Amino acid sequence: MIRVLLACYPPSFRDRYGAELAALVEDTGAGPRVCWDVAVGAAAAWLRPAFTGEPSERARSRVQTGLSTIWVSWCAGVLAVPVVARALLDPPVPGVAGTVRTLVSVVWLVVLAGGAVAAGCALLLTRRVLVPALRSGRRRVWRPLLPAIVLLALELIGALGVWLLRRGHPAVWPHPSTAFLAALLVWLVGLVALVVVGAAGPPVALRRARPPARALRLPAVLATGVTAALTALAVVQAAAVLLAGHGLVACGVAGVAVLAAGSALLSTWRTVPALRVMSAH
Amino acid sequence: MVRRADQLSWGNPPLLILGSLAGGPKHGYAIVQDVAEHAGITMGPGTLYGALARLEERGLVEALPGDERRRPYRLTAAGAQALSQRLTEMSRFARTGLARLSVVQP
Repeated sequence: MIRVLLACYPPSFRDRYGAELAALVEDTGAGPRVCWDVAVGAAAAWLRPAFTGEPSERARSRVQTGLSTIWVSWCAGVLAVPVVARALLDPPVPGVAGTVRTLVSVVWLVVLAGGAVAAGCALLLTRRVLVPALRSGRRRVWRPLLPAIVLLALELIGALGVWLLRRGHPAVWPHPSTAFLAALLVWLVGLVALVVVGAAGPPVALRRARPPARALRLPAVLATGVTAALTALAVVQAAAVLLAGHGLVACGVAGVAVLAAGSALLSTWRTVPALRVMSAH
Repeated sequence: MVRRADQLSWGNPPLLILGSLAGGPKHGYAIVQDVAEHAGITMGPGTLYGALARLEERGLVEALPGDERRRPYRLTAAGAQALSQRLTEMSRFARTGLARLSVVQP
């Protein structure tokens, strides 16, 4: 139990204090109070990470953590969008106003805009961090991205199959077979898994690459745009759910997007001073 | 988690750690023991290292070379100054409180 809790600390914390913390737990004993204390400590370390070392290294680590947090928050927020849209509009909630439809459309536009900025950020990091890592033979850096790449390929093939089936057999579509529904369910589960591994992979790869500060600066500036898009998405989506006054699922999922936006905002707020330190160096 | 029997707890972990390190460099377990002995407060491992990380980040303590699992920490000059300032304030508060009590309950 205590080993699991110790493993719950952020990687940067484990690298720096993990061995000492484990030794202290061995010395004090791993009773229920110690377990609770370690669990609370792990949560606090995630919510407010500490960075040690020289000021320039602290700033670099802060920016790297900020980028990772914003990325994970963006993925969580984007995952919420289709769920809420489906809950509100497919089938339409009785009495749902045109305003709600418009708000849901606005959310999709914000996803596109934020996605474009996030893609720009990802391209910059690929060019500045991942390609040099590949050239220097550090495959370890790329490995966390492989599950997402494989799942993306499988999901695309699945989507293509569904599209071809719909086009080739339009009469069957309204009354799908059980096997088809099962395959569709597997595809949907794969989509969720893709978002999860897609959210977790890049932060791990970034951590393994330990990119220099200059490689992170512009992506971090762009990431503030992703945070802005995520905040707009969460606010508009929450407004749509409140106006529709519909369902626990839509409320809960919209709440997840609000939490994700809060997390990204907090991280951006903490990253901006580090960007200034980076500029000064 | 900081455990203390009474309800008027005064110690917060960073202050307790700085106070402990004022007596010389110590590793984690030694800090826990020292604080328990001198302040009657038991600090959990998560609390201790959370506070130590924050103090190190602010440059108030620094790690000394040593065994990775028993790394000692010491106060920096900034840490000593911060501790001194806080203890002076606490001392002033204590003197004022005691003086007021002596008037109310001579």
